[in-house]
Amino acid sequence: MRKELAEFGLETAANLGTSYADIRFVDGERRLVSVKNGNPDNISHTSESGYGVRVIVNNGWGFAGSFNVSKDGVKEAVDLAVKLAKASSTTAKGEIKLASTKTVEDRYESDVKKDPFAVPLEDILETLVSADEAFREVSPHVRTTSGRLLARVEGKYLATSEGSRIEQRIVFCGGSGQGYVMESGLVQRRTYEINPRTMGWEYIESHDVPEMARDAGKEAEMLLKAEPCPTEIRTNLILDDPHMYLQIHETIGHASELDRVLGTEADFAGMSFLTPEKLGSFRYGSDQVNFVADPTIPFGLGTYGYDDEGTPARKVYLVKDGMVNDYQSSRETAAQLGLEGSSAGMRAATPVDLPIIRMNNICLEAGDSWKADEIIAETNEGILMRTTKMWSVDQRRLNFQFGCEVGWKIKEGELTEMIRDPTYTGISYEFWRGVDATAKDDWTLYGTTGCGKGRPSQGIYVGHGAATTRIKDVRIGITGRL
Amino acid sequence: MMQGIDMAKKAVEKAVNMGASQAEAIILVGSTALTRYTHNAIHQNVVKNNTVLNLEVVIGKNKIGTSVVNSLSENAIDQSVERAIKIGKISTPDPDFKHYPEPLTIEPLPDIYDSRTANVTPEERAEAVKTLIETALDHDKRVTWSTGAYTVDTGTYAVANSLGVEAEMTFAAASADIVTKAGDDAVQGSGYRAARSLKVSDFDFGAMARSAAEDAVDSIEPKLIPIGEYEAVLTPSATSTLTGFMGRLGFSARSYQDGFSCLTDKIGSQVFDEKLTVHDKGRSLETFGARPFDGEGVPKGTLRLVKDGVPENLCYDNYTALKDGTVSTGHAMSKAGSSYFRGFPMPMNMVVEPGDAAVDEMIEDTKRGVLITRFHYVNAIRNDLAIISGLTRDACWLIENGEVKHPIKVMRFTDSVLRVMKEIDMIGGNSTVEKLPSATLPALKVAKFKFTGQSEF
Repeated sequence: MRKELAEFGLETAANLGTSYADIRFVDGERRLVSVKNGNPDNISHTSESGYGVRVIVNNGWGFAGSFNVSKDGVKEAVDLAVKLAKASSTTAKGEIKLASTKTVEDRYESDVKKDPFAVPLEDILETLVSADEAFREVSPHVRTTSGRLLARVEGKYLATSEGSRIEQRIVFCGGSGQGYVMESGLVQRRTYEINPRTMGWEYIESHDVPEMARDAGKEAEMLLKAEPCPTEIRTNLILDDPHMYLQIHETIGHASELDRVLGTEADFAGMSFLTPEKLGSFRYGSDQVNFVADPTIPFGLGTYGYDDEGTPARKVYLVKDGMVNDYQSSRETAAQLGLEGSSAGMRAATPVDLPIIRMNNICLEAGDSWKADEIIAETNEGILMRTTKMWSVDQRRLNFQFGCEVGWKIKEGELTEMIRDPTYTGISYEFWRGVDATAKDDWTLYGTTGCGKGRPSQGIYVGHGAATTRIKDVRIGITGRL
Repeated sequence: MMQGIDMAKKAVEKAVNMGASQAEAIILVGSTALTRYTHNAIHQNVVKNNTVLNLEVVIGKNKIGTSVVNSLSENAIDQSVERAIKIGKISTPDPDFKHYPEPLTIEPLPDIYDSRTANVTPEERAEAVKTLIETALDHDKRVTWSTGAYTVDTGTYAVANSLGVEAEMTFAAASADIVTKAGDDAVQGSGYRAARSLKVSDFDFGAMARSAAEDAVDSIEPKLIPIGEYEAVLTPSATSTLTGFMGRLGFSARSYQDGFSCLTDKIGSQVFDEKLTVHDKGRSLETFGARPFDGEGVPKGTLRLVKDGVPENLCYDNYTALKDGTVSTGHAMSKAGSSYFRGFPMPMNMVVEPGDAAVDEMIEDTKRGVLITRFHYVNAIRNDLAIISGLTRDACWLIENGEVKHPIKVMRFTDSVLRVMKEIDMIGGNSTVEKLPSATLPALKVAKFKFTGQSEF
């Protein structure tokens, strides 16, 4: 039925004078099981079936999204999209050009061994409750605990007026848990994370979730006795866990989105300091820094076969040997800048959202000389930080500040005292120019299901990868009052 | 065609017939129409229709299952009921759940739906955008481009539960905003204005654009200032960031019960400056989010949050209220879809009592301070101390000895909301009051505001 409706939609659009049209059907299922203090907090199953129609008329864009999956609904949506495009065209400044992409008929599926929706809810609950108990067993000062496991499957069918017909089935699973501990008015939090990946439930089962919770509980207790982060110092910073994904996400991920660079997000999320004249000439990081946008990485949360414009997934070097090399782009923005083609970066968060440029898997490539344990062993003085607690970055992605749940001082090559409430700040390119070691042996895929962008706001899943990394001369301990 | 409330009742009835001891159905049918522009042209023109049925069932005393679907067909409702009950049977008991809200009289609030607003056409939105763009360009030759959006949200929200709650409302709301740029890229000035109303007839697009253009021109060639402590004159937009964190981190019963509220053990104490009095006026049309009832069908009303600087009350939904042995204050968030703050009651209609100062008087009263248009990307570092960090955005200026000296580059602040709101020098009069998404409030002048970092533009 989806295919017939898609053909009907494209035909209707063509009859209304569109120069381009696409229609994207999405059937999604999402299962969330969350517990709080060992009791169910939200056990829900969400189903959504809908579509979005995108058209160009007289060099104006129009988009309509609807959950009315019927011939009448499609007709109404196409009519509305055309009307919107005509209204847009009244302010058009020039021709809308789309970078070329090959026309394909194809099918892509995530590599799933165990269907997450076939796993009994009882088993999922038991895992979460066991984890909750494990945290509490080792944490006498626990105030609240929570945990969640999430699975999503998304079936997409994209048809374009240029002739592409693409089916995809994307599946991902992930989860996390945390506990708050409290003593003498001091509140601390420790989180454990099963970074979501495009895999089946076999991925969740590869983790000993209660053991992860127990380790987090122990560290939460230790945080109540830990010294606060030293204030206003500059030293080596080492990042080796999922917090690294957010550092990448905020400072190179969003900064290299070409819509931000060209100003189409300027009213809301903001722009980027990585302006086009910097392409090929601006040093964004040290020689050891290589960032890629790569939706072909196996099991990454941003792994897919095609983006929502039908561009085949491809790997793009955003930063190569420290120099700005390329952007995450769409067909339109790539054409505006005269790039080789779209980076295949367009996605919509729901069936009824407009596709916009979204990160896929934005990764810092592994180094080629250091082992992770050697990086710490070779650090005379510094701080290791783990697990994001706070994040903030300016609208051009220059000044950032992060807070983490926990840190450890490093002295003469060894982790020593634990510290609480660590924070650090910097300017993006200065920070990445300070990278002097990236491990070759512990590169890991991370991800987040809630990257927010666009108007109306869209929250989408994106992947990141990184290895243990040392950054020199970082400003640490910002508030001075913690 | 069956109304939302009828469908919600039908879903509840089916759930009870299939063995649920209690059930609650929420239905949202709505649309967002948004015309977005940048570089003086419309680049995004969208209508997003939305349909959500959120069904929660209770099995036995307190085993809960939830199903969410985006269709209201007979078949979808049946499947949703079956699925929710299946989940509820598997679920384990939630000892803190007692029951859904009981019915209370809800006074209708028909003024939250203006048919003129609900029916703004794409052509009308495009015309308004043209006015915004052209007025800004015409204002000053140094203006280069503008960006922003004109949005209209409409919808019907219905709640029914098996204890007899039956509530339905239809709403329409509009917002428009503009960021205008002036000067060369290297020394670019930036002005921001936004307007929100339940009636589009309130909008003066030309005036908005002129003000934004004026700020853009006046903020060309911003300079760096040292990090450190400053007095600060905060526009309503900037102030609303602080009151927003007060609401979320302080006045939510959920954060209080969970132990990380910044007001833990401080209710009834002199926490804020004596000049500060804040109410949450849930159904007042002086707020942008006026509603007759909350996300679970409890009537909204007025709750005093702060009196002369002393916090007095917490915001409860039904779940957190029963846990504390009290009654809901009508602060349940929407349960339609996967709202980020679902289950996290908080004030969404804060009204700060105005004072009598004009912004010019605040500037005159400032020895060494800053005038801040708005904040960007603010997050909490310590919930319990309400320490937050973020950045300034768009036009900001340095003030010295009672005079605006020059525009300043983007600065990072890191400070405690409790500390900043403890020393309020002046509160703006009625002429400074603005209606923002979660608060209606005047400009403020505070004695201490700490900048901890600088950006480069």
